[in-house]
Amino acid sequence: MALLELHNVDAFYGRIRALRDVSLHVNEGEIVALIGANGAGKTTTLRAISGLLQPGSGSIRFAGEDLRRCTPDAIVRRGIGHAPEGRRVFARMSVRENLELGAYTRRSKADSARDMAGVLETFPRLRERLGQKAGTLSGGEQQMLAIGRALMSRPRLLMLDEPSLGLSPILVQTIFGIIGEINAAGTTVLLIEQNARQALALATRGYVLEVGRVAQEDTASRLLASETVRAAYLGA
Amino acid sequence: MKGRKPVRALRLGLLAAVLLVVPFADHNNAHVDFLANAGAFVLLALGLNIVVGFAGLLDLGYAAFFAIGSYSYAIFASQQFGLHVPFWIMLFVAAAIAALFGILLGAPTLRLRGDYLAIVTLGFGEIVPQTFLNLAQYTNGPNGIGSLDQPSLFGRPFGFSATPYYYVVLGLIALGIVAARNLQHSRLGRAWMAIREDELAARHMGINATTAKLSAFALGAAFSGVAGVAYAAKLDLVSPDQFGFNVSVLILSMLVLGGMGNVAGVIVGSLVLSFVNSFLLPQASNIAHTAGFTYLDFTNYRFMLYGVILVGMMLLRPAGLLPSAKRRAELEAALTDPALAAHEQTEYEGAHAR
Repeated sequence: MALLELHNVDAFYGRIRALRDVSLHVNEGEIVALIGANGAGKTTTLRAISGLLQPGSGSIRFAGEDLRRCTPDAIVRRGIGHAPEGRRVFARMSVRENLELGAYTRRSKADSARDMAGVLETFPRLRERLGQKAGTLSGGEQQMLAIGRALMSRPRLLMLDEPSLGLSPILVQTIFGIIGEINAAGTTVLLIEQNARQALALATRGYVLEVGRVAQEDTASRLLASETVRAAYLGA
Repeated sequence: MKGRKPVRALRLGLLAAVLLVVPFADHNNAHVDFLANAGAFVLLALGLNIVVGFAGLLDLGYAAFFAIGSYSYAIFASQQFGLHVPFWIMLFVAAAIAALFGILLGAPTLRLRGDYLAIVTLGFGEIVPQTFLNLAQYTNGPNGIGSLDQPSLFGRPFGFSATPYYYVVLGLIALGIVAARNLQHSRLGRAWMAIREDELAARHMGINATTAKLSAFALGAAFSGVAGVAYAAKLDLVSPDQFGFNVSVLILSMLVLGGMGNVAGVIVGSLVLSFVNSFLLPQASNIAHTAGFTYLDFTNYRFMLYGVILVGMMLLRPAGLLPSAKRRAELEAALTDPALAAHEQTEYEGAHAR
């Protein structure tokens, strides 16, 4: 059974329909990439999953439970971590405070301390910057912090909204390498990317979103090879 | 750190001792009276600080909760309805009533931010005293409710001296400080801080912004409910004109002057403004009058003075007299180009690491 399953999800911003009948699933242990142009509904899909936007109709199930009536905090507690669009680190707080807030839903201090050690293991750069204000970090470091902060809730499913945005090619490589490690350590990943080539190289499967609907779904390698995807998103 | 703890405890003990003997050392009842009133405003400032300082929700109608607390006492502890609930119990009841209204005000404003929130709270601040004014059959309208029950302790009524009120307010402030500091460092306090910084990011972290904001409104209002009871009992009268917009602005000015978000700063700010308001300005007027300038009444210039203070503070010390470390960082980052600030910070820290 799929860990996350969306079935015919519709979503609206006011009267504008942002998602039409979106159906997708993420199996335990996978990395799934959601690719598509600006405004295709990628971020909206993640926001619907994490409860920040109430879907109009359709069902969203996570580990067998219906998420539709859940508040965002209840969804985080059920095991979905979400590194938001544009990173949104707490700029005037220290790296440590950011990570601590990531563990907000967790009650046990000892567990959080262990998770923090794990996150710092994954992102050694953050350890060097623990006391520094998050706003003073470089873009890549902020992205690391955003991912690390989302990991602090110890999610079963980690959702990443454009982790490569605004980063140098070398940093993109680093970040994607780390995402692979996080996945290998047992966390399922749902990834949004405009950088389709990188995302599909890393992912198990992928979905192509076009104006709010799923246009294509396949294994990542087949999408990489597909003529239409190559023409539209890979620039070749 | 450990070595400093006894010093801190000693200082606190000394301060407590001084505050406790003031009414014995100073036989001028007017001074004690001034301190008791100033103390009520310290409580109000501590409460507003929870809403504005901790949670970052700009409330321009905070005096409404002060009114609700005061009127609660007047209604439940006077001849008005023949109800005589004891003062000590009313402290809790009024806190609960004010907290309830805090939630009622908070609920419709949850989606509002910044200036929009300020306007709605401003409206609430106007509605509440107006309601007390217009419900004349219950509240005597503009005349207000007088002859409130005198508090008593162990069967001894407080009488007309300000001294017992001084001690009550002092005790309430002590409790208020402990409560505020515990809240600030609690899980809820961290949620407030995260919401103040970035509400959307806070929600991504699994913080329930709705409950966090409503708790801030409720807890902040509870402080002013308590302050209202103490103030009303001491004054022996409540009337709608005591709770106007100017009172809300006065309390907010105390926060700005002292340092929003910092408990110690807020206390200093409220004491300074109370001193200016009830002591310095009347004294200055008296001096002017004896010197022959009979047309000079400085108390009429108090709002001009607040304005000058606020403008001056913004220019010279924008984070307040005793700023909270966090607020200072926020303001510094906001005042300079953030990118530049970030760059400088890394340079600075880099240089020091070497």
